[in-house]
Amino acid sequence: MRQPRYTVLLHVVLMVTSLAMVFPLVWVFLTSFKTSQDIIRATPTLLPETWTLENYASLTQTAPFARFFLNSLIISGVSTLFIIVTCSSAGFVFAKYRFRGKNFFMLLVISTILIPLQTYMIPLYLLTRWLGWINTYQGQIFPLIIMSSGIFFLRQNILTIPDELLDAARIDGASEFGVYRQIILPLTVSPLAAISIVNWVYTWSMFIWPLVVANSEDMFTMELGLMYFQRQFITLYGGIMAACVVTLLPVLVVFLMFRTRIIDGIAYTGMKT
Amino acid sequence: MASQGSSVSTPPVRATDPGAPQGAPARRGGGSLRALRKSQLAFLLWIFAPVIALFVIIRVIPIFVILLFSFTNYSITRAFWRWTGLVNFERLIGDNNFLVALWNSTVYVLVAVPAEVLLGLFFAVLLSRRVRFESFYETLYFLPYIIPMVPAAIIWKWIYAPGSFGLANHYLELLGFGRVGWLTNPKIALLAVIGMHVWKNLGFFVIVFLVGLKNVPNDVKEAASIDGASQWAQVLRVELPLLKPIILFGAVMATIWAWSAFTEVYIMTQGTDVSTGTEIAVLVFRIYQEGFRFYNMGYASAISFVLFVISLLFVLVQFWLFRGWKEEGS
Amino acid sequence: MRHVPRSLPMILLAAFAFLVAAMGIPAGTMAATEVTIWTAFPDMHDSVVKMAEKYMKENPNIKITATLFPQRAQEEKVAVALPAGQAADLIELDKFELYPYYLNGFLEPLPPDIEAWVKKNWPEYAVKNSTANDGKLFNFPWYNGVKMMFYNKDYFKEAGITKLPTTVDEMIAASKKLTKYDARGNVTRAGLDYRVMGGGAGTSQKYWTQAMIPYGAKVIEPVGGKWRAGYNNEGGRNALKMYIDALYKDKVVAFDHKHDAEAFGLGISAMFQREAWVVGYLEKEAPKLNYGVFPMPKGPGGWGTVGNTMGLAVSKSSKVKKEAFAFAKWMMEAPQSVFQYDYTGWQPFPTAYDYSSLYKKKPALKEFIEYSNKAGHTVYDYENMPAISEVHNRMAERIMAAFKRADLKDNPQGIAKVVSETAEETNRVLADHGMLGK
Repeated sequence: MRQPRYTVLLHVVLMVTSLAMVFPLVWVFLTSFKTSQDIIRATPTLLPETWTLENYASLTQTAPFARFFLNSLIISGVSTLFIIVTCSSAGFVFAKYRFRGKNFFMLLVISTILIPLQTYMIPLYLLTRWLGWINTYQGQIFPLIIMSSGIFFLRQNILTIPDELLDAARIDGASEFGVYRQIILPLTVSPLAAISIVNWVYTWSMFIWPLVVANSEDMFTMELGLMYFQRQFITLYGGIMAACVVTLLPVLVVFLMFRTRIIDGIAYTGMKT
Repeated sequence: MASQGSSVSTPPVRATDPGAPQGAPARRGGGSLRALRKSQLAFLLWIFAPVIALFVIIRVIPIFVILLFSFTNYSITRAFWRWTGLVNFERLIGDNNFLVALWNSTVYVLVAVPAEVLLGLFFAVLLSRRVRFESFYETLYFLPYIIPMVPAAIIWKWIYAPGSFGLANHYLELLGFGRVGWLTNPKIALLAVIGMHVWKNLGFFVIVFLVGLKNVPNDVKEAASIDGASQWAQVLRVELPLLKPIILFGAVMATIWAWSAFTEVYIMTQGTDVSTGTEIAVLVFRIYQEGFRFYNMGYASAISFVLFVISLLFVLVQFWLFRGWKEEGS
Repeated sequence: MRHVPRSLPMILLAAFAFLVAAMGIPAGTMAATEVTIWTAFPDMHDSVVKMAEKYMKENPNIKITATLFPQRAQEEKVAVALPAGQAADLIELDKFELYPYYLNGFLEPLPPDIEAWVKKNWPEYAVKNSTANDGKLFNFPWYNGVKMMFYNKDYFKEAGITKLPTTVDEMIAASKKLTKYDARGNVTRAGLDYRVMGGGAGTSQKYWTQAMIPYGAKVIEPVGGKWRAGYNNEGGRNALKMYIDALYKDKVVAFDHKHDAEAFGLGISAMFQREAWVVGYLEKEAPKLNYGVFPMPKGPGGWGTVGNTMGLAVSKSSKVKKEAFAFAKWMMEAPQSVFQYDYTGWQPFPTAYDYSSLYKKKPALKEFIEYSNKAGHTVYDYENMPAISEVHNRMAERIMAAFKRADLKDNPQGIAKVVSETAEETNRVLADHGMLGK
């Protein structure tokens, strides 16, 4: 039985901490409406002296942000669709198949999470050049169609699916592809939604790979577009914050869309004992 | 686990499943076993193999190439290179910048991982008490995670800025405290950056752990509360242990992210109101500096090699620590 | 049990279709001859885009595509793309960063006719600084980062300083008079905003200008065809002492206040060292500020400033070298140079061009142009040595760490130790590249 006092305390803690977490973002949001004089003054104020939309207006003047937005959408979208397929299928095999060398491949996959892209960027770039994919969408997307941590996560999840379910389907005459489509996929909606968000966030805010692959402005992503606000020795804070708010929105939308899938759609999946 | 003979074994039969006979489960007809194997082989060939091939091409080979470069004197601006054996590694041992970066990265991991896991668990437990507005709180916690790193780091640079125009110092002074040199004080600069890192990633862990907690079957929870256990004891003794596979996942991801931290450190060293390089330099920062500023790719690869080995060790240790519970229930 | 959404295969199919379609989206249309240029700074980029529009009108069969990769991004981009033959035709980078690429055959030197034109119009030191060991000009010296001291005229009057400092000692004395503190002893107005942190090689560049040159220390000095650290001497120690005293003895600058152009514009500093672009910045952000510039003061060891060259180079793999050189040369002719100086504040090299139309609005710009031609005064630039960037970056880290050490106040042994250790590291870098002379 819960006492009323306890619930109030709970709410207070949650409220305070979540607002504290979000406080810097409140600054981002409010700053996007400030003039540059307002921003660099000696003592900062929370609310703008004068509210202005000039930062948002300047977005398209500074650079073709609409195009950047489209590019980011294409890259993150296609990447996420691919990893849904690659992670669930590979996770299925790692969880439910037995064959010689499986553990070796598992270790191989996991060990590739350990090194960030910047460090092995150059051989990858040379490969991209050899494929003729410099300054193209496919060049920016192809390293992103697999996700080691996604495979790991899906494996952990699929491990908990009872084998009887799979066998039952096989007895009924389903091929492995059928098992994958009819059993595995529906039962992994939640973890797939989770890694979709993670992948979306990751690809959306990636900087270094689009930087080296894109040679001309029409291939830039939103994140590259943020560079334009780093003036030579000073930063146009207002513009960056406006671009940030705009960038944030699609990711937020994707999150809200998937949130229920992740958290509520767990009745049949997840890490049950 | 690998079987002798055929490369695809028959589907594993649960030893706990008393109904099925040992060996092949009941099948429609005699040829079905072969059909099954053929089907599994097909799946492996058409789906699994291409995915693994992609892995090898996109990740394994480039990483392997980079690790090979650590034994050369490859430089970006130089067209030719030669094998130099262990020279780069010998130099690493005496390189103060590298050693400091190694230390900084270790501190980074040792502070960030427990912070993210413990705080993530704490808030996930709170949220799992079926409070109202749960989705509101969740979204707030998650927002820092989905904001791009560049604007986030810029805002934090502003928060940490020295003097009274830094947001943090501004409020501290209003409350009567003195200023803090968040990024200018060598002793706390690294912790300030780690603080930002934890802030950014915390939402991810809250969500991941929350999903796990929600999965604890209700009958288990009811049994515990009937026993009269207090809320906290129930949480500690019943729910958390069931969460161990998720905690392992969380710990591994947090570790990897801490070892490969770069952007926030990089941004915090740009500009003129910030920290200097050395006190917050982490391994990936040094890799970047050696490779792209000084063009010493061979040397940078050697640092990458060390990073790879160390983070692999950390991850393996975590798997070992969680060994007994990883496969529980599978 | 939930069914897989029937739409899943459709979604995947859509993804594939989308991808294929996206592959077909043209990345810009092909005109007659395209010349690509990568710029490294947003202000210059804007200026180049405007100039390119004019050029394309006059030359309809040429298309200029300018892409901006600011600051560090440009370095990374070039590092990956240039050796792979994927870089733009024209690349903007610091001269000292272009040099290693030239040594390895990735850049095209200026053809003889253009070289002659540059030699005729550019100051001698500019030509010398961009001449490689093989005697060729390996980049177009595009614009010049000459440093002068900016000062706040109102604050000078208030402090009773009537004569502008001409020596280092005078400047230090003035800085003491100009500093203001609050009740807790924090610096609220820096007498001289020394560059004490941030941005790696930028700090060592300002340190070089502010302290090393007047006290006679060189970063590296030539020794029999090779190089050696040139600051492990009294000049180098005095240079460090200058900063340590400013921070901890005279307390004319501190870590925890705003710095740089922003601070000067806000009135938080009375003097600081910077380049001509500040003029344009102040015009926009602090138009009422009553400021002026004066030359870097003389010191016991020398008189000079640093005027680092921003270069424009043509990549060897370019298929349109002739057109690229033609466009670059056109951008540096008089009308365009005057426009550039006005629009960006970055200082073109040719001093003989007529910039007088700008001087009424921005009188400080005149000083920058006249500055380089003073007798007895030297404009230094980074040496053409492949590892110079590493030398400066490493030196910057060490001196920035030293600036944080209050214990170096009145501590000549401590200072000597820091200087010699830093010099040791410089020599080690030189040795690693086979450049250390004995």
